[in-house]
Amino acid sequence: MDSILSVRQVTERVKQAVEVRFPYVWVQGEVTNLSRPSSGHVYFSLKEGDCLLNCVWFRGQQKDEAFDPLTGEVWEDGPRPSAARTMENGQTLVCAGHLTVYGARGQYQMVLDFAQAAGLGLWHQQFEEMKRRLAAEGLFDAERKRPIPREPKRVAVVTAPTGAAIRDFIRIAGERGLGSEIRICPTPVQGEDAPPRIADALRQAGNDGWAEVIALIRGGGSVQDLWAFNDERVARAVHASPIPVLAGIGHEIDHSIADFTADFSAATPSHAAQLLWQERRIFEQHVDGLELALMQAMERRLELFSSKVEQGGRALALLSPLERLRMQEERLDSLLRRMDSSLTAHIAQQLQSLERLSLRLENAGDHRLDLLELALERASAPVGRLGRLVGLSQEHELSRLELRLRALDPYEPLKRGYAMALAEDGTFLRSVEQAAPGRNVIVELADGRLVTVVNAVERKGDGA
Amino acid sequence: MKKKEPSFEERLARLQAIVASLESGNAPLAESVALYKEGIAHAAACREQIERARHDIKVCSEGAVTPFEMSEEDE
Repeated sequence: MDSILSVRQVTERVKQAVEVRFPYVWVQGEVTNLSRPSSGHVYFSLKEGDCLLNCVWFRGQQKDEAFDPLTGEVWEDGPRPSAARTMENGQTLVCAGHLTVYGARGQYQMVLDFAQAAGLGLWHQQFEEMKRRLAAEGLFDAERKRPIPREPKRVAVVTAPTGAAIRDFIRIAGERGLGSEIRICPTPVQGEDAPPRIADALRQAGNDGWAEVIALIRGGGSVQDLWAFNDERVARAVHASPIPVLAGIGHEIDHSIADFTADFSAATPSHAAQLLWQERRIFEQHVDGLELALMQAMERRLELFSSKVEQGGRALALLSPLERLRMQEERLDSLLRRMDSSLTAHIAQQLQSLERLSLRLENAGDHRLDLLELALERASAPVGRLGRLVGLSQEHELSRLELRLRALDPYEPLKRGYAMALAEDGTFLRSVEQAAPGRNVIVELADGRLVTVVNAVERKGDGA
Repeated sequence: MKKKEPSFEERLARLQAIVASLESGNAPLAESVALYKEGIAHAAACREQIERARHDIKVCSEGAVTPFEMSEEDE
């Protein structure tokens, strides 16, 4: 029973096998059975002979493309509508996506991420064959590819002088770069005549030594239209060019032989111009950045200088004429003070010596006066004595004698409290010996006399 | 060629050199100011050059170089 699988089991196993084996595929085929229901999903089949591949392109995966997902070219004219909207029955598409199994209908199918119109048909085989041959010869070798100069000043453009290619190239170039010389080498770009003329123009542009780079451009078109760029003569001329060749040939088909041979392959003429020249705002940004750096550097420099000036200013303030003036003033002041005080001292000294002199003078005067006076005195003394002797009147002499007499009066001291002791006989007692206890002694006072009795006699130095 | 004004690239290179010397050098003030002025002038001239930038488009046919005139007709 183990060998019998359920429908689900077999479906799961097929699904797994398919999904693991084909996680991502590129498939080319002719669109048929195209259906766009209101869900927004797109259903169609890719056909080749009697083989059919069912495809579904879910709405979520259908995106307008801002750039070519195959070449990376940014479309200057804005996003392009998704192939989901533009595809038609009978159109050949290159589709990318993964294979899966839709169990409900027992079908395998391709779920698309991306699709792009392909213009390849019968020509494809020839193209592939020549490609292999030239590749074997080394025409496409990566090692021989030279870098395309950036911002070239002299560009030779090999193309038709009319039409979308040169118009787009010039339009895009006009928004970029800093002004270069562009020389158009006019050639037919389709028809029998085109390949040898293109090859000639390439040789001429390469050999005249003027250009830095050759742009070989051509607008989009059918495979037949662009066949000149798959011509071997063109490929060899590109390969032989002494200066780099930048190809910019239509974007609607796979690369041409010229693209493979060129040093670099742009997707379109516009793309070629984008690769040669930068947008002007890039230059402006560069200038802005440098100018900003310049300003900042100058600002820092000025800050440095002003800090130096500040330091210098502080140092200079100490040495300034004003400061020196102030110091001089200070010195002057101190000198004046010193002068003042020394003057005062001098005056004082002078005064002092004046005083001393006047004192000496005075003293000298006095001394002489003294001397004179002394002399005078000496001279007048004998005169006085003589005068006294001669001049004293009798009366004067009398009163003097009276006074002397009064001083000798023994009763005079009694007025001042003295007393006199008398014996009964009226003799003055001069010693204790003249009295004895029981004897009367008369004590004479100023205003009268006391008659007293002696009680005891005490001699000086006795017992007391 | 030499008598013409400096190219954008020459000016840019000079501007770069000026910035570098202001950033690292010890130029005296007057020289710094002169460098700064020169740098600002180069920046302004660069902008003017960007503003003025036009490609000179010619046709080179059978050895003769003639001005290119865009044809209105489409292919």
